[in-house]
Amino acid sequence: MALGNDVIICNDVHKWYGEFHVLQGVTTTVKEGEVVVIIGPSGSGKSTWIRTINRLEEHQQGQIIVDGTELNNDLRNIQEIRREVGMVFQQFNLFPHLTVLQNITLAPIHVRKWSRERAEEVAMDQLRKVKIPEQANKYPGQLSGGQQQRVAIARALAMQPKIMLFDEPTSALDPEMIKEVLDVMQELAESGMTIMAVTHEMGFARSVANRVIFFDRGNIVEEKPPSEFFSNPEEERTRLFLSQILHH
Amino acid sequence: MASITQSKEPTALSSPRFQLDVSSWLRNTIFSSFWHAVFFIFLVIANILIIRTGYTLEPVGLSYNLAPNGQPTALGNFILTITNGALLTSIILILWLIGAALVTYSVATHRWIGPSQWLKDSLYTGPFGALTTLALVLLIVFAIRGILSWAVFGAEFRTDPESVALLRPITPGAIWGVVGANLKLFAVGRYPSEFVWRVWFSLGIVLALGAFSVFAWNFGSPLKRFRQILVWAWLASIPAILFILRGFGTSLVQTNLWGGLLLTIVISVIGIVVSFPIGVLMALGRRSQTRGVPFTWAWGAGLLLIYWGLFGIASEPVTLNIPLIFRDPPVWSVTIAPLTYAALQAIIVIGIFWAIGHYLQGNMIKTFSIVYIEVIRGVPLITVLFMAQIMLPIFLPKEIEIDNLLRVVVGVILFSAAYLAENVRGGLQAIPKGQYEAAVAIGLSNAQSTRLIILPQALRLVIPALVGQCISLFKDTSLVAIVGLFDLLKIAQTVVAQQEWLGLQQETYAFVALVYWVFAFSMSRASQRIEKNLGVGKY
Repeated sequence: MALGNDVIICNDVHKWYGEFHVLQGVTTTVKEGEVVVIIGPSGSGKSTWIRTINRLEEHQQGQIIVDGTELNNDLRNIQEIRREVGMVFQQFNLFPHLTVLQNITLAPIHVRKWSRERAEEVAMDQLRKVKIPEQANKYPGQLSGGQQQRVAIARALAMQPKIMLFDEPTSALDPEMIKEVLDVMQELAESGMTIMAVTHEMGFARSVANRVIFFDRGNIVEEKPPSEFFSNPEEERTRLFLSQILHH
Repeated sequence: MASITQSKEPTALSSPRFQLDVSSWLRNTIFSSFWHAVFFIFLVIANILIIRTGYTLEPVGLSYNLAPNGQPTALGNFILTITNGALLTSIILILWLIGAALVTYSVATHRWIGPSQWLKDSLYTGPFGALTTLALVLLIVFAIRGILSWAVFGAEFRTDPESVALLRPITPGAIWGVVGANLKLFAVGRYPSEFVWRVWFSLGIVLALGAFSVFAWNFGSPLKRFRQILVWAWLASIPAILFILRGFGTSLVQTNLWGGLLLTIVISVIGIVVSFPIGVLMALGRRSQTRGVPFTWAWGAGLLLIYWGLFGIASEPVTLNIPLIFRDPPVWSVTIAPLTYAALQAIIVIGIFWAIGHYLQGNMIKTFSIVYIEVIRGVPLITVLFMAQIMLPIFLPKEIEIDNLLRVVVGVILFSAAYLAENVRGGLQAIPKGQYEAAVAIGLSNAQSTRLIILPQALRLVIPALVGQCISLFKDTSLVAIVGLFDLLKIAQTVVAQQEWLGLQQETYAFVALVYWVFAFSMSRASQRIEKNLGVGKY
């Protein structure tokens, strides 16, 4: 697949929680249409990193440029970027007091200023894509975990973002529901969306990703296309991690 | 081997021979725990007291049930007979014994006739249960009998003072004339009679809106637009009603004439409605993460203070233009130019806030909210009312005379807002961080995510606490009597001081308590309905 321009540029990104140095100079670029999977042990800072890309976490040093806009304290920049970057969380974070349809149309109506009709049309399209249009008028609490996560994906997609961030989207799901979410993500990747995903699903990484990043102790240890990454890891830490998760 | 043999020996307990062991029976029933014993002794004492009182009230139904010829009517006779204390006690005892016999028979023979199963499960669960049932039934029946014979059968309902004065010595129960003759006073206080139609008119507005609301909220989604209009109509009705009640020109009714239930309702409704948005803002402010003073605010405050210092409030003499903190020593007022005062004042006021704010990472909004909430919550409502009454006029120029009622209402609002803020903050804290993150991640601004995502969920969670506060605010309005307003309770005090009705405290305060209870209980029920309606389809 032909990849386009650089849409995410991280240049020597640092972050501290008090004394703790979470991100220690992360440097990488993501191209348009690329699917990047980030793996790594828990506590390595990979979630923090992905959350700095839409400024849910502030970085304190270095540079993050998303779609040509640098992230700094300027609120307008932050909001502009958040409009173009969709995010899917581990815990779904659907709004429990709104129906599925309202969850999805909320941002298009209030941020994009679309009419309700148009927003609902787009929302139903997205719900069809994630294969649950029949749940539109239910409340999130009435859905299964897998359905909720698919609604969360539809909610992010309804804003028609250029980039999608996935922060461990399947970690809170029962095993039988993981596949339905991964299928949706795979279709999304095949449609040409730029994706950054933190996940433990090695099958997904192997079959869908253009690049796999191994993240440990606040920095990128190794990044390679999946075929090379899994068959021929260079770093000792990568090998150790892979042996821990693949052999049990 | 020896121990096994021993264990097989029949013990005293399994012996078929019946033994009456009073001390172990008591230990197993009434005195099985300390609180059982306390409860039972309480029941016995309460019974003795209330039944004794019941006997002293006899004969009940005397005055109310007299026929014109001075003889008791048939109804009066009947009431006299069945409310006779000894007869009542006997009937209850006999019924209790029949129940006990029935249950005993059923237990012994395993034949469950009629209600005996229910009786055993609920009223005769054991010796202690059976005795408790007897004690409680006696207590309840005699309490009801006492209340009824005082409030209804032995009561005098005539409202003309002359005949009541004659009947008072021979009336065993309540003299309700004190309430009946003063209904207008209880309802609206000293509001002029020729303008009482305005109160009726206002009540009409409320009832009409209420009827529309009941209609709108019971017929699903097609009326959504109508419901929105209704919410605004409700909000608009408050100033409209206040305007109608006050009037203007020659028909002006000064607020010092408003009183009774009208005043109580006015104070609590304005207090609740106005303090709600303030409280929500304070709650949000206390959790605000904003660092430093917003630039425009600092400038705005500075300019305002400079203007105030320079020109004061119009029509005041220049020498008195100086704000309070600079009035002493007076030499300042003639030696330093107003511009200097203004500058000094701005520096001091901003400096104070800045210094406090510094300790809270320069978050001015948070500082202000915390200081406000903690100061107000640290003082009793009476203090706030006194402050509003006495201090407020000091801060304002002499020409501006603030209405007494308005001062009190401001005090109530300030007080209520602080408590509301803490209630709302409780709800805000219960909303997971992920909700906020999800809201901003899809592009909503801070304000939008607060308004659309956080507040609707947080407020829903704290409805019980908010209604609790409304109820306590409603009852707390009785404190305004202290600063000279004639609310419902104060009216009651004036009523029992009237020459014709002197000393009829029981009747008056019982009536006032009933009115408070009706309102508080309605609010409580309304809250349950709201909770139920909002909870539909959620989670």
